[in-house]
Parts: sequence; C-alpha cells; structure tokens
Amino acid sequence: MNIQVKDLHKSYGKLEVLKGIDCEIKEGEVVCVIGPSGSGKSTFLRCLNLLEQITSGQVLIGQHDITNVKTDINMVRTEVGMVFQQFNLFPHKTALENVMLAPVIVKHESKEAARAKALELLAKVGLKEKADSYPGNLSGGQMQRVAIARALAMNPKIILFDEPTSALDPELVGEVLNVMKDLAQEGMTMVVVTHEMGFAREVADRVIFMDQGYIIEEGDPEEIFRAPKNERTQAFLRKVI
Amino acid sequence: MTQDFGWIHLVPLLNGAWLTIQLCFFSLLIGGAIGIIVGLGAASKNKLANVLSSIYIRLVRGVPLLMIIFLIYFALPMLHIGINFSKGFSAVTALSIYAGAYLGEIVRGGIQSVPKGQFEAADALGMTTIQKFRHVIIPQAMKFIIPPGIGFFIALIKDSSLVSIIGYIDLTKAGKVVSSLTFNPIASFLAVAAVYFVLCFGLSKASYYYEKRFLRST
Repeated sequence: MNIQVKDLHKSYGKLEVLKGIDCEIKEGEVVCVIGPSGSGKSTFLRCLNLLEQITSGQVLIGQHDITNVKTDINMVRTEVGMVFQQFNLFPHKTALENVMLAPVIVKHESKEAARAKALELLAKVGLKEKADSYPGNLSGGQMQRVAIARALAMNPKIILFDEPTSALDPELVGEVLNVMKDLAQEGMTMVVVTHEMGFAREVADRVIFMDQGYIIEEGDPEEIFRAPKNERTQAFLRKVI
Repeated sequence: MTQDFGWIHLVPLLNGAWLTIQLCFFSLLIGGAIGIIVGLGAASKNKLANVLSSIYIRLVRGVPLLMIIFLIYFALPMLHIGINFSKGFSAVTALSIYAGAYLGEIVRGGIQSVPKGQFEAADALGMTTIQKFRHVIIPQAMKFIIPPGIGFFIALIKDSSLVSIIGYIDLTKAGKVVSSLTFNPIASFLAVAAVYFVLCFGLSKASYYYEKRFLRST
C-alpha cells in the first residue's frame, strides 16, 4: 500500500503548520522524516491517519482518499498502524490484552486466535514473558515494544512512527530501534519521524528533511547526510551530528 | 395526648429512613443515567451536544434544590397540562434532575482526566467512538468518577431531607412527626441526625475501602 500526499496544508487557526506538502511513499519503503522541532514533521505524520484534521490538499492511502468525508476512516486506520512517542498503552490492560484488544473488537477475530497471534508478536519483540504485566510495571523500552506489537496485531500495511524513541532513556533506545530494523527488513512500509540520525542513515530508503512547514530536501540517506544540498539541511545536520 | 419519646418511635423513623434510602437510590440510578448522557455530551466535540449539556449543568447547578422541588411539585400541575405528580414521584424527579447535573459534571471531569493519547491510540487502531469509550476511556475514567460520585451520593442523602417540605414522609419528615407526637424535638431530631450519620458514615467508609482496594492497586 502506498501513500500519496498532494499539496497538504494544515493550519491551527491562523498558524499555518504545513504549507503545501507533496510526496509519495511507495509500498515497502522506509522513509525517515527529520527536521528541527516545530518543523511540522509530527503534524505531517498525524495527517496520514487523520489524527489531525487536514485543512486542504489530498492524502491517498492506497486507493482510499482519506480527505474525502465519505471514506470510512476507521477502515483505513485498521491498515495504518501508529506508534506514539508516549507509547499510549492502555494502562488498565496487560501487555497481552493491549495487543489483543483491537483485533478482537475492531476486526472481530476470535479471542483464541487473537491471543495466539498476540503471544507470537510479543515473542517477536522479545517480551513473551511480560505478557501478563501491566504497562505500569514495564520499562519505557518494553512499553514501546508492546506498542509496536499492538500496532502489528492489526496486520497493517503501513506503520507510522511518531518519534518512537524520544521519550526513552538512552540505554533503552537500541532495543526499540532493533525491533524497527527487523520490521524494515521484512518489507514493512514505514514512515518514521525521528531524531535518531544513525537509524535514519542505516535503515531508511529515503530521508525527508522538513523545516517550517515545507519539505526542504529529500533523497537517499547517504547523499542527504554526506552532502546535503540545501543550506538549511546543512545547518540542521551540523547541529545534530 | 402526648407520648414520651421511646424505642417505639424508632419504627416511624426507620420507615422514614427506608424511604429516604429508596428515594436516594432511585434518584442516583436515574440521575446517574442523566449524568452519563450529559457528561458524555459535555465532553464531546459535537457542538450541539456540548451546548445542550452545558446549559443543563449550569442551569441546574445555579438553582437551589428546594426550587427544583417546588417547581416540580407546585408549578408543573398549575400549567394544566395534565401533569400532577405524587409526592414520591415529584421527589424522585427533582432529585434525579439535580443529581443528573452534578454527576454529569463529575463524568465530564472523569472523561477529560483521561490523557489525550489514550483517545488517539484508540482512534489510530480504528475503533469507533462507542468502542473507544467502552473499552478504553470509560474504564480509565471510572477511577476519577467513583470517588467524587460516592461523595456526591452522600451529599444527596443529606440534601434529600428537603423533600420533607412537600410532605414526603422521608426520614426528616418522620422526625417532625415524632417530634410533634412527643413534644421532644431534641430527642427526635438527635435520633434523625444519628440515622443520617450512620447512613453517610457507612457509605464514606465503604468508599474508602473501595478506593484502597481497587484504585490504588493499578
């Protein structure tokens, strides 16, 4: 499933945060979105599953035009997973229940099937033994891995990552990035807003640099990191690397 | 023909107490249903639901309970539209309307205390609004709703004594009857106060154990 974004604008009142974004993300592609804070990169990501209302422009997820009010956004969202900076696990449910919930109630899978798949996914992210733990008893890195398993449980075609490691202690970042790396190698379509330049350089097929509501530069990660063309990209990368 | 205050007078008082308990129980049920609807409305993004709920909450909270009781019991029948409520029905209606506004405010507060990320996580998984509230938001809002809800119920039991003014034989009215039978207002109203105290203190103890047991653990 691919993503096509055409002339996307997003305003909060008079403040225009996205000033005309055009881009296409192909099926199986891993795209990292980088840029200074306030550049609109998280807003851009959140427009892709309509967590933010789109002011104008068009976003196509596969065949579905999510800017058309007739589109059943909940149906599209079952195919577009999301992983949040603050994990947003359901604190009243165990890790296993967090992963099982949406498949059971949204996709009407049987509890047994959902449980079996959830355990498999928790094993995949290395947390099988934490299945019965509540989020409050997990570390940040463990919570984020459960959150990735929760997104995967819906069998999404695309996963959006909104700064997935920014709320983690430095020593826990690696375990989450490793899970994401595995996903990328399995061919998952991923859009990752991140400050992890090492990850972007190593894993991304393409890097998008955003600043002040525009896409300033995009391309192959090696080129962007080694020889950025735009001076704003150069200035940003000088600061962060 | 006066009687000395004695154990025998506990019978009408306990009858009155039982009516007070019934009155408050049904008002809590109906008021709770109103409160859930109004609270969801006040917390929703739907403009109309939001405005209507807010008007209801502000209007009822801005008027003394006694006025609500009077309006239901005295004023509605005078409109000659065939509404003539019995005392009990008027009392339950007035207390339900009153409870609905306060519980609505408590429900609204509870829902809005659930972090925004929880709503977003449920949305991102493709849940409908009903699924989101049923499985994600309400279970988490309950811990913000139950303790003030019980607190309000305790206050409601005490406030319900106002329905004695329209002649409903609740605990307070029973106390007045006993007082005029015995000419012993001190003993009568001390007994009434003691029964209210037992009811309210018992509830607040129960709520304390509930909080300790269920809310602190998660």
